[in-house]
Amino acid sequence: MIYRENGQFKTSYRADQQIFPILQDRAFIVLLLAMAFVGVPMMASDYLFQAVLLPFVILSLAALGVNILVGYCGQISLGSGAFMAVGAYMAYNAYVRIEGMPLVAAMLVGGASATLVGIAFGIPSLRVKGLYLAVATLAAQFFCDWVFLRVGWFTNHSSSGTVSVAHLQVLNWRVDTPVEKYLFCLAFLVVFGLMAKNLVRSSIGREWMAIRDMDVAAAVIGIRPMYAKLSAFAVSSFIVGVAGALWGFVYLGSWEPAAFSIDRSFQLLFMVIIGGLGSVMGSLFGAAFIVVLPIVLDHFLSGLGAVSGLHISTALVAHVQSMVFGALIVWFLIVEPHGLAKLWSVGKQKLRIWPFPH
Amino acid sequence: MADDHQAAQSIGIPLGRIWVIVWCVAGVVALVAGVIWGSKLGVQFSLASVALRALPVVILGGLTSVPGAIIGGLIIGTGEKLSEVYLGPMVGGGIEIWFSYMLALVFLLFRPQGLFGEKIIDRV
Amino acid sequence: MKARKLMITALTAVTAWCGALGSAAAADQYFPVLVYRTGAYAPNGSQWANGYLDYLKLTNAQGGVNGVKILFEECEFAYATDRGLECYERLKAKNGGAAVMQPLSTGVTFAATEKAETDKIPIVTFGYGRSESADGGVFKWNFPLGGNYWVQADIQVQHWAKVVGGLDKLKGKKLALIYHDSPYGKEAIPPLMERAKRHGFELMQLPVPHPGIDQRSVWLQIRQQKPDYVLLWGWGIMNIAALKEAIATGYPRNRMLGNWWSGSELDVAEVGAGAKGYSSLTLQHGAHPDAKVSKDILSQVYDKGNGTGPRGEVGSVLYMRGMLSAMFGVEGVRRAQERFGKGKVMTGEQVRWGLENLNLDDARLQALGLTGVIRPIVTSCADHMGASVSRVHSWDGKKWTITTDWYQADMQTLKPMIRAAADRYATEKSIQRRTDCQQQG
Repeated sequence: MIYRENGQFKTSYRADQQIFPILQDRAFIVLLLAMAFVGVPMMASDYLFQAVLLPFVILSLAALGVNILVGYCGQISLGSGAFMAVGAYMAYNAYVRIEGMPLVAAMLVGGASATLVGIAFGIPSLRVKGLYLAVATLAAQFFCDWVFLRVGWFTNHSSSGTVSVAHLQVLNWRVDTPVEKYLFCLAFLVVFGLMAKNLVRSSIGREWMAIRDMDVAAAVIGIRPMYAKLSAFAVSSFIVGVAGALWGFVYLGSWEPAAFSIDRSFQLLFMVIIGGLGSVMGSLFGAAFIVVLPIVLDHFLSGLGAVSGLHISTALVAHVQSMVFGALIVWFLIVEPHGLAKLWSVGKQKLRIWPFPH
Repeated sequence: MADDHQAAQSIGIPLGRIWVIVWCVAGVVALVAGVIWGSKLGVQFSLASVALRALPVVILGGLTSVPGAIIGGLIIGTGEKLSEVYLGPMVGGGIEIWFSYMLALVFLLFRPQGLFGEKIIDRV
Repeated sequence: MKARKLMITALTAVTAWCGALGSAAAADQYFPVLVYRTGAYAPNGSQWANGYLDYLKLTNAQGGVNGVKILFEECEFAYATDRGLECYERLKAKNGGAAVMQPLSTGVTFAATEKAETDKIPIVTFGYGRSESADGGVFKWNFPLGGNYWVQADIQVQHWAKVVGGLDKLKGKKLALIYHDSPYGKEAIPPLMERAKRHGFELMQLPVPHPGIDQRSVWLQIRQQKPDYVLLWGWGIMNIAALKEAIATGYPRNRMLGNWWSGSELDVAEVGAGAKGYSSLTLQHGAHPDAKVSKDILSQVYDKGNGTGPRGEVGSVLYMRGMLSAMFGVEGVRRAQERFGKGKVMTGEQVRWGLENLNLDDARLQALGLTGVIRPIVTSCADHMGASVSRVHSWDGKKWTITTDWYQADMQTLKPMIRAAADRYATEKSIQRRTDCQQQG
C-alpha cells in the first residue's frame, strides 16, 4: 500500500536508470542519510561513537570492498587483512614522509598501494579459483604480516614496530572528537558506497557477475577474464586499503601489524557471507551483525548476571558470548543462506504487496 | 558428490548420510593430529593456527589424493623448518609463517592440481 | 509469531533494565579492570587478574583508601586490541570516571596512550608498555612503574656478564635472543644491540611468530650455532614451547634466562623437573606465598569466602604481579588524597599527580606488608618508572627461588636512549615537552 511504484512513470532513460527509481526508496535513503549524518550525532553518546559506530562504519567500508571481490566477482579472498595493512602502512608512510601531505590524499595513496598489492596477489585468480584461490590469498595475508614486522622502512624504523599518527585534520577541520571521527568515516563510506553501487550496475559490474556465475561461459561470449578479475581485485583492494588506513588512523591511532591479522580477514569474510554476497546493503548488514552483536551480547549477558544476582565471571560471559554468536551464525545460515540482504529484499517484496499476502 | 551434488543425488547417492560420514572422518583424523601435536607441545587454544596450514598441504599434494596429502605434509613440514633455518637468517627470521603458503602459491601458478592430484576439468 | 513478538519485547525490556542498572554510589573510587581470561593467553591473564582483584578486595576489607571504598568492574577483552579499546571506552567514564587503567597488553597500551590526554586517565604499565614512556616530560599520563623492557634487556646482559666473571669477559661470546615477533619482543633489540656493540658479543636474533607454539626451527638454529646463552622474551604458550623445545634439543636450561614475563609457574609447571635450572628476571618480586601481604589476603579475603581465584594461586609470580599493579593504583589514589583531600573520591587528573609523586619507602612498604617483595619506588615528573632494579630467580623443579642479589640497570646508557625516543615521539605527535617538570621537585 505504501511501497508501490504505481503512477511513477519514467519519461527519460536517465530517470529510468537511477539507483533508486521508486520515490519511497529515495525518501528512505534521504531519511537514512539524514539520520546518519545529523540524527545520530545528536543522540548517541561518546561511547557509542568510539566503540560501536566507528568500527561499524570502517568495517562496513572494508566489507564493501570484500563483497565486490567475493560477492560480485566470485573470487574468494582471505587476504583482506593484508590489504588493510598495506593501506594503513602506506598511508602512514605517505603522511609522515611527505611534508604537508593532506590526510585524505595520504589515505588514497594507501588505497592505491593496496590496489597494486591486490593486483599482484590476484594474478593466481587467472589460473585457479575457489579454495585454491583462498590459499593464494592466504599467502598474501601471512607474507604481508611478516613484511610489516621485518622491514623497518614501513614503520619508519621505529624500535618497537608500532606506528602512530598525530592530529588528523582535513583542510582546516580538526578530526578530534568522536563525532568528527564518525562523520569523517561516514563520508568515506557514503562516497565509496555510491561509487561501488554505480560500478556494480555498470558494464564492469555485469562482467564481474558473469565471471562469478560461469567464468568459462563468460570468456566464450567475449568478456576478458583477466581484465574482469584483476579489475575486481583492484577496486576491492582500493576500498579495503582505504578502510585499513581509516582503521589505523582514525580508530586505533597507534597500531601494530597484529591489528590486521588473519582474524581480521576471516571477520571480513564472515561479514560478507552473513550480510549477503553480492549486495551493497549486505555489507552494511553483515558489518552490523559482526561488530555490534557481540557488544550487545556482552552487555546483555553481564546485565543478566547483575539482574539475577549470580556472580558470572567475565570469562564465562565471554565464552557464552562466543557460543551464542557461533550458534546464531550457524542458525542464520541454515535459515537464510543468502544472508541478511536477502531478508531485506524479501521484506521489501512483502512490503510492496502489503497488506495483501500475495 | 564432489563433482556435482545434483547428479549424485539423481543417481541415488544418499547425500545427507555421506556428508555426515565425511565430516566425522575428517573430525577424527583432525583429532588424531591434534592429540599427536598436543602430546609433544601441549594443548592450547592457539592450536587452531596450526590447522590452517593443512591447506597448503593439500594444495601441494593434490586435493583428490590421500598419499598426496601425506607427502605434501612431509614436504611442507620439513620445508618450513629448513627454510627458517637456512633462509631465515638472511632476511631476519620468521619466514616460516608464510613459506608454506608461498610454496603453495607457486604450485598454484604452475601445477594447480598438485603433485598427485587429478587435473581439474571445467565443464561449461 | 506471537511468541516471537513476546520474546523480542521481553528481551528489549530486560536489556533496557540492565542498561539502567550498573550505576553505583558515586562515593566509591572506580577501578575498571581490563582482563583476558579467554583467548591465547588466558592462563596468564587470569592469574594476573585474580591478584589484581584480590588486592582491591583487601583494600576494601581494610576500610578502603581513607574510608573511600573501591568499586571495581572487570571487562574481558581476550587480548584483542579492538575489544580492549571497546572495554576502555565502555568503562572509562562510568561511576564518576576511572581512576587508572592497566591494560596488560601492548596493543591496548599503545592505543590508550593516544587517548589518555583527552580522557585524562593515567595508564599504569607495571613492567611493560612503551619503554620511552618512562620519560614523564613527554608521556604525562603513562607510568611504566617498576621497570620497562629496556631495563630488562640491560639487566639480562649484566647477569650473564656476572656469571662469566665480568662484562669484558663477554667479548666473543654468542647470545641468542628468542623473542615474540611483536612490539613487545622487538623492544629488546635496541638495548641489546647497544650492549653487543660495547662489549663485543654477538647477538643472534630469532623471532618467533605469534602465538609462539612453533619453535622447532628456532631451536634447530640454536643447536646448529650453539650460542653460549639464550635470552627468552615470550609470553604464555611461547615460554612453555621454548622450554619443551630446549629439552628436546638438549640445550642446558641453566644457560637460559627469561625476562620477567617469561618466568612464572605457568611457564614451567607443565615441564616440571625438565625446566630445573631455568632462571628468569624478576620484576623485583618473585613468588611470595609467605609475604605478609599474601597472608593478609588469605586471612581477610579468602577466609571470608571472597577470593577471586583458587586459593593455591595466592603468592604465585603472576598473581603477585597483578596484586602489585593494583597496589600502585591504590597508592596513587592515596597519595592524591594526601594533596587533594583525604576521604574524597579522586579524579583521573588527581590520581595522575599521585602516581607522579609516589614515595613508597621502606616504612610504607612494611605497612603494606611488602617487605622483601619489592624495593622502594619513588617517582617524579621526569622519571615515571620509579625504580630500575631486578634480581634473578630460578626454578628448582617445584618452586621459584631468588638466587641473586639486586642488579641495577645502567641508567647512564638507558636514560639518553629513553629521552631520545621520547623526543622522537614528541616531534611525531607535535607535543611539547612539559615545562612544569623542572618546577616540581
